[in-house]
Amino acid sequence: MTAAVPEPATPLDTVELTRRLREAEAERDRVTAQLQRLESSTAVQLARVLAAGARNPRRGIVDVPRETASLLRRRRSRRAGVTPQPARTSAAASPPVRQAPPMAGDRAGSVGADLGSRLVAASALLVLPRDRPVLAVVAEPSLGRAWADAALVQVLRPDDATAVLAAVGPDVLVVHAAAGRAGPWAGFGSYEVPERDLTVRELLLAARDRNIPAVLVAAEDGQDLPLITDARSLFAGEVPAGATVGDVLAAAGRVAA
Amino acid sequence: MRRAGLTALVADVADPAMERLAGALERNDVKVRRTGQGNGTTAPATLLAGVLEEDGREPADVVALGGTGLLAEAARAAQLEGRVWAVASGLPPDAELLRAVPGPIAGVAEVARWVICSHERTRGLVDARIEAVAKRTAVLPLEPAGDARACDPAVLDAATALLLDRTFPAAPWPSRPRPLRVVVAGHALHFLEAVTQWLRGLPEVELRIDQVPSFSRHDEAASREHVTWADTVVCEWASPVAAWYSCHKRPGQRLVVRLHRAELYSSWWEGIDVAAVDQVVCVSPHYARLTREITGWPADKVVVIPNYVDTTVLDRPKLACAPFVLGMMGVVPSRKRLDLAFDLLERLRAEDPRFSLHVKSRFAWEVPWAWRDPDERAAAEDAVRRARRSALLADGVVFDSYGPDVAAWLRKVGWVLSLSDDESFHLAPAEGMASGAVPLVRPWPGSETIYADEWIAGTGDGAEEPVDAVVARMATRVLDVTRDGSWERLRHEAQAQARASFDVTTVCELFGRILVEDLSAGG
Repeated sequence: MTAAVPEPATPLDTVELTRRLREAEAERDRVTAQLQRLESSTAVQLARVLAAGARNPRRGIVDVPRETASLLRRRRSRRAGVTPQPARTSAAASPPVRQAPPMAGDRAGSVGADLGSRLVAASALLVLPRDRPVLAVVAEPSLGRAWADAALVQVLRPDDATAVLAAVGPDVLVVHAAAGRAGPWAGFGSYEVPERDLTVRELLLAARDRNIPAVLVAAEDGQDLPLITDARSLFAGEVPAGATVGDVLAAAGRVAA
Repeated sequence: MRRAGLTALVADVADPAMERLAGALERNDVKVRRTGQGNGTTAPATLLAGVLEEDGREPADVVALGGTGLLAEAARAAQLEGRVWAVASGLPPDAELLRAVPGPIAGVAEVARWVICSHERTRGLVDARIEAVAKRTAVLPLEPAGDARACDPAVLDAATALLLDRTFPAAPWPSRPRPLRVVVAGHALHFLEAVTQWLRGLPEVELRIDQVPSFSRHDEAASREHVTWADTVVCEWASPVAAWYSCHKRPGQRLVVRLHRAELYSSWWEGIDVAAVDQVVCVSPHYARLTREITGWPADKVVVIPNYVDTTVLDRPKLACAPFVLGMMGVVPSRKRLDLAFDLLERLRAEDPRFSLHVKSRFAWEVPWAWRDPDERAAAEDAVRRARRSALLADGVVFDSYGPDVAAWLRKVGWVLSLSDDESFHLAPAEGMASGAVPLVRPWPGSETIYADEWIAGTGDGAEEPVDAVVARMATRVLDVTRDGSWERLRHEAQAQARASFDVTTVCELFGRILVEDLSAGG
């Protein structure tokens, strides 16, 4: 009789747990920031000064007026928009509070991993029994449908592509040279839509780092895109338009056609 | 436009692109002084020293600099700030630009008025990699490319003329015995950035900024000095600062106050002595009417100057996919109604799966106040879930990162959405129109006073109707237009309207006039 082996977590479990952990961390950061604000408030610091003065009246006679004046100066300068200096009080000195990391909401400029992981968590397509090869594809959805019998096809979208690639761990990354003609990947490959080209380049580099072979499916008209030309060394192989899953796997060096 | 008397310093003209620019400026009546002509081996530091010396003798309106070495040096030349036309010539191939734009181009962004690229594609890559210049890039075909028109002097001259007109709009008043002294006061002046930039460049204006620390506080001594000095004071916000100016202005001094929606629904404006104010500026006739109703201020004092867009920056060639791409900018707070954009896209994709929706925005989890609001948080989470779980949306919605590279992003957008429950102006449709996209505007209150009826998905008679019917009407419109091939005509019509009504040069002219005269309250 063998001991029961725990089921490995499905990607969805992992993603959901990651999301919950992130939210818990964000909540902790919020509370830490609130505590920091509270502890640095003049009211709390003044209370500490008075309490210390009450505990040690001999020192308090000197410290309380001096430190109260210091706190008031600090409060005035903060209201005037001057960066406050930490109060140099002895009794009022609180233990150093760790600087709270920026909350998700404090970040500006990039949606970054936060959006990607949220989209992954919201996706309903990530429980993948591995009874067929798994392909992550930058392509029109029709290509995914054409391969659906022979492979599990995870369509990648620009806003969560790298997060999905990491979560799914596909056998092959497939890039269809015609994906940029319309839809989510519109314009990719031409350097006319840098955000899409950056994402495809990041995907190819991420795949290389994870030892996931990348295969290029040529456009129906055979037209080459500038980005594809420049990034050709990142592809393990290339197949013509209309290729089968077997062709893709062969080009990836995974299985013979 | 102000061309007569403009001067330019151009360096290094050993670079063929710079010599082409010098020629184009001359053919546009700009007096050009060339520096750095020689064998092209002069050290960049020496070249810049020559430029600064020449500029010190006679300051130039345009200081055109090219070559990464010279641009690297110029990044430290604060005295050239706002006058540098930084020509990004001799750049590495696109694949390298995608990874990183050369440091000197990023460095010179601080002092550059324009960063000039030879091709639209290069401009997009520069915009994507250097946020600071995304609203200050321009294309002048100075270097040959596959495009046969690339070095056509006629094309270059026309593009140079447009850029000169954008950079040097004339003051909308006759010559003055001495420069007009203008003070712009406020804590946040970003809504007036292009106007203050324009005023700074006018020889007929001396501009000072009363940059106050917050909405309600200011240094009274500094403001008193401004009152003593200025001919005209513009208060960007109807705030306690404006109230102070209304109580302390000199007799005969002009005082203009801008009033935004936020102040209208607060009590801040109540401290303003409107008798001392010459004019109050609102962004739309609808808000001007509300202002008159709520404040009771004299009707003729409340006038309209719309928000502005920069057509020079936004007007870029559309990509082939644009007729099937909807664009939405700004989805926080939830009254921007991303859910309606999803409704619209579902209707469109049910008919034609080529349609997609691209969203450029911060999200609620990136905006602290929104993330603290349970309703906003729920709306954001619902939106993300729906975007991935709706069969019609899953392959049709893309969330793009928030950033200033709006003009490059709009190249792929053929339809720009305005679906909010309420707006005072909503700049997004104006920006989209200026880019050559067709606007789809929900009839929010006052929309008809800003945008033409043909872009508003209303009943036409002002009757209210369920929002589903509005979305259905928009979907029908999009499908009809893409089927009958009239998108191209409509987008040019929209662009012409944006240029006429909202372009920064038009709006600057209105601001110029209000500095010296009363505008008509009739619009």
